[in-house]
Order: sequence, then C-alpha cells, then structure tokens
Amino acid sequence: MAHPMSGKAAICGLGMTEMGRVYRSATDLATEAVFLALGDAGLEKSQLDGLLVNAGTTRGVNLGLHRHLGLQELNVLTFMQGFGSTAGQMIQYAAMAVENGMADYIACVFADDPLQEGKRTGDAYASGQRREAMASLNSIYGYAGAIPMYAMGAQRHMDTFGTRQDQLGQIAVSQRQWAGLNEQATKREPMSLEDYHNSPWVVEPFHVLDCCLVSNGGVAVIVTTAERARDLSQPPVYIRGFAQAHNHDTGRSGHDPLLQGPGVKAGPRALAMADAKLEDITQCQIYDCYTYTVLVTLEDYGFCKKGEGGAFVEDGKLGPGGSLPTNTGGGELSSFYMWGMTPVTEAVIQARGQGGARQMPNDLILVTGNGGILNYHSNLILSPQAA
Amino acid sequence: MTDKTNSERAWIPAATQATQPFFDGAAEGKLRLQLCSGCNTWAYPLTTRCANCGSTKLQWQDASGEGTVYSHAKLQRAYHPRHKQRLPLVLAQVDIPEGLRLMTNLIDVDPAAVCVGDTVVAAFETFDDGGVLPVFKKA
Repeated sequence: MAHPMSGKAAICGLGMTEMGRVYRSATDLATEAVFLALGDAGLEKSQLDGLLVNAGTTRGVNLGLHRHLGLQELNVLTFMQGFGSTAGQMIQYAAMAVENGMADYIACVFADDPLQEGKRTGDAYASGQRREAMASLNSIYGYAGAIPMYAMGAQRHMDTFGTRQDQLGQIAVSQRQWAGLNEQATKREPMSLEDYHNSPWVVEPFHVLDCCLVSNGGVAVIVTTAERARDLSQPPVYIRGFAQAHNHDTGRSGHDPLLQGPGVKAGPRALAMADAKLEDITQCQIYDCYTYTVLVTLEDYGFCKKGEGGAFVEDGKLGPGGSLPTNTGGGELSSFYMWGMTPVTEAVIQARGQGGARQMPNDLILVTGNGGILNYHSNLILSPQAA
Repeated sequence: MTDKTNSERAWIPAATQATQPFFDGAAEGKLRLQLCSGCNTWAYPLTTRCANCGSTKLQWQDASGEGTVYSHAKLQRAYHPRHKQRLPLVLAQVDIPEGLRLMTNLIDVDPAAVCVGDTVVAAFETFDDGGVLPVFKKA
C-alpha cells in the first residue's frame, strides 16, 4: 500500500528563464523564474505563501529573494543547501508543508550565474582565492572542482568491471540525441561516438563531452496540495514518492563511495512510498553532472546489476527509441545545467505531456538529484496520475 | 629575475602554526598526520576535533607511508604552475593502513601503467624554493 502522503501534493507551476549565456544576476533570474511559474500555474502573487531558495555555484541568490519578489507575508521561508540534491529536497519539504497546512503554495527556486561576459566557460568556477598551505594542497595536487573525483569514480569502475570509454560515450551520445528534439537545449548539433573520442581530455577518463554544461539561468516550481492543483491552469504533476540518503565516506578507507552512491538506499524508499516497483518506472530523469553519474545511479537503483552499467547503456537504450528513456531533454550534458532542477524541469514537462517530439510514456517518472562526490542524494517519483 | 606573482602561485603558500608540523614532517621525509589520543583515529586534513569521538586531543604522528591505490585519473590540463611540463599528472586516491583515503599524486610512474589496487609508498617532491610536497610512488 502506498504511503498516505503519496500523491497528496503536486507541482502546479513551472518557470524557466532563458538558459546559458544570459548575463543577468542570479537574483534577477530567480525573480523572473518565480513570476514565470506563477503565470504558468495561473496563480496571483498574493496566493504564494511559501518560498524555498537554493543558490548555485556563485551563491548569487539568497533568503532576500522575497524582497525582490515583493512578498509581504509568507508562512514558509528558508534558504537550503544540499548541492545537487537540493531541488528534490525543496520539493519534498514543500510537499510535506502543504500537506500539513503550513502553507498553500510554495515556490522552490534555484538560480546561478557562473558565466561572465568576456570570460571562457572553463573560467566560470575558477577561484582567485589564495589559501593557507594545507588548504591549498588539493589544487597543487591537481584536484580542481569535482571533475577529478568523478573521473576517478569512472576509472575505478573501468579497472574493476572492465567498463569501456565507448560505454561512457554512449551516454553522452544518447543524451545529445534527445537534445536534438528539444528546442530549449543549448547543445543540439549531432554528436557521434567519434566526436566524443575526439573531444579533448579534461581529467582522463573524462573528455569535455563527459562533463555537464555551465549555464546561467533560473528555475522555479510551485508545489501545492493535489486538491488545489486540480483547479489551476496546468495538468497536476503528482508527487508519488520521495526519499533522501547521504553518505560522507569520501575521506576514509574501507568504503567504496565511488562505485556505489546513496541512491542505493534512497531508491527502494521512494518506490515503497509510491507502492511501485522499479519495472513500473517508464522514464528516468537522472542527475548527470558527468556521464559516469548516470551509469552509477542506474546501477544503484537496480536497473542493472552493479558493474554491468556499461553493457546496459551501450545499446543506446537511454536514447530516443530505447527501452529506458533517460534525460529526455538532453540533461545537464546537452541541455542546461541548473543543478537538480535540470532533471526536475524535464520531468514536469514530460508528466504534463508537453514534451512534443520527445514526449515519452510518463506513467511513473524517476527524478534523481546528486551532490558532492556522490555524497548527497534525493529523489522524486512523479506522475500525471495521483494514484 | 623574481616574478613575485608567479612564484607565489608556484610554491606552497605559508603554513599556519597549526599546519606547520605536516610540512616539517614532509621536509624530514615523513608523512606526518594527526592521531586522536582518545580513540586512535587518524585525521586528514587538519582538524581541531576528532570526527570519530569528539576529542580535541590530537597529536602529530608519523604514518607508515604505505598505501594502496583506491582509484586514479590523469590530469590533462594545468591548473597550477606545478602541473605544467608534467601532464598527464597522475591523480590518485591512496588508502593508507591508518584508515584514511588521501587525495594525492603518483610520481615517477608511467600513467598508463597505474591500476586500482597498486601498492604504493610515500615519496616527497622538493620544489625550487625548498618546499616539500608529500606524494606517492609505486612500491
């Protein structure tokens, strides 16, 4: 039997700004996203009585967003930070809050503005900060950002299970095929496995094309009760299941956090809440900061056995025409990078049946969010049906 | 000619009083890390309180210098002056018997010949300015 909370809250509004090289502040992008979401839902601003805020890499938006939105009275308000798992977390907490009557309509907002005019994409996350000796060691060793750690995850998978570069590449190729069907995607030009192999190395085994885009933009989703959602402009997107799991094993030996993430625990919990089986999932929107994140998450959820992810994705089953449509908008690799909001936005579009040329069966959509180095994990199971 | 900006970037910045023992150890050819007197748990990087038991009784102690490669990757772009002329630089997470997993480098190795599970030992790389960086090499 499904959990009493299953299907009792819904996403009723979605606001997405222009994505990519849009040179506006994160606060401005967040503000626009909320107004877009209100318009999308058919809500008046005065009806919005909850606001959850998450900032990206630049920390460019904060609790003060409510002032930019001119929101005088709120019943729920906080800033949250669980990195790539935050988008899913905000929706989870909002669902629980509306179901408990704390607020009626809660906007969950993310915005980021790492791209600066006249600077290259690769400089977006560069820090000029000069540190003390021990704090500077990681950069002297060559650990810049998250790429080296995820690359080492992929390499451990390759050394342990024989996973091949081609198989990582196929994930990028499948997602680019989806992006070709999405007019909002940033990278739409066709990409072959050969293009993938020819793409420069960043941290081997990762090519540039194994890594997510860098994007400026803002996203807001509005959560309300299922009952209220049915009276609004858009088809309700019911929240059928959700969970979180987090681990912090990265700095100690005796664990294998790069081969198995916390999704292995969060998956069964969310499915139990929704009273669903993994086979009932009709499409996946998986957090894809890197190709390897998709592979390891699919394994963690049990779509294939641990170690068999390479062979699983190799036939293109994640792409158009495949048996497990995944990241159908192009994902963070080819569409845009709004942390956990990237998979959330595509899931909402798909659950509403608004995917156009890329619309896929949407009975039960798995959405995952991942932060840190496979440390922080949240998920959602969304559906056009309440039960 | 001294280029202050460049040399500042090229060398290890100054240690604080708290982190100096780590670098003094490196200068002596030792992998010197913090050990909790309360519960015998090792810590890295610097901490003021043991994450295992909460004790503040942390003492600097020389680790065995032994290790095993948990995973590895090849840095192909220079982010620091040290990386230039030596790409691909082998990044490695090394498990040490003290229970830690260190983010470090393997030096003096064919990057194509590194594999998960390789046995490694601590090594020490000396910079032009006398700074010493603990790294690992194949045993």
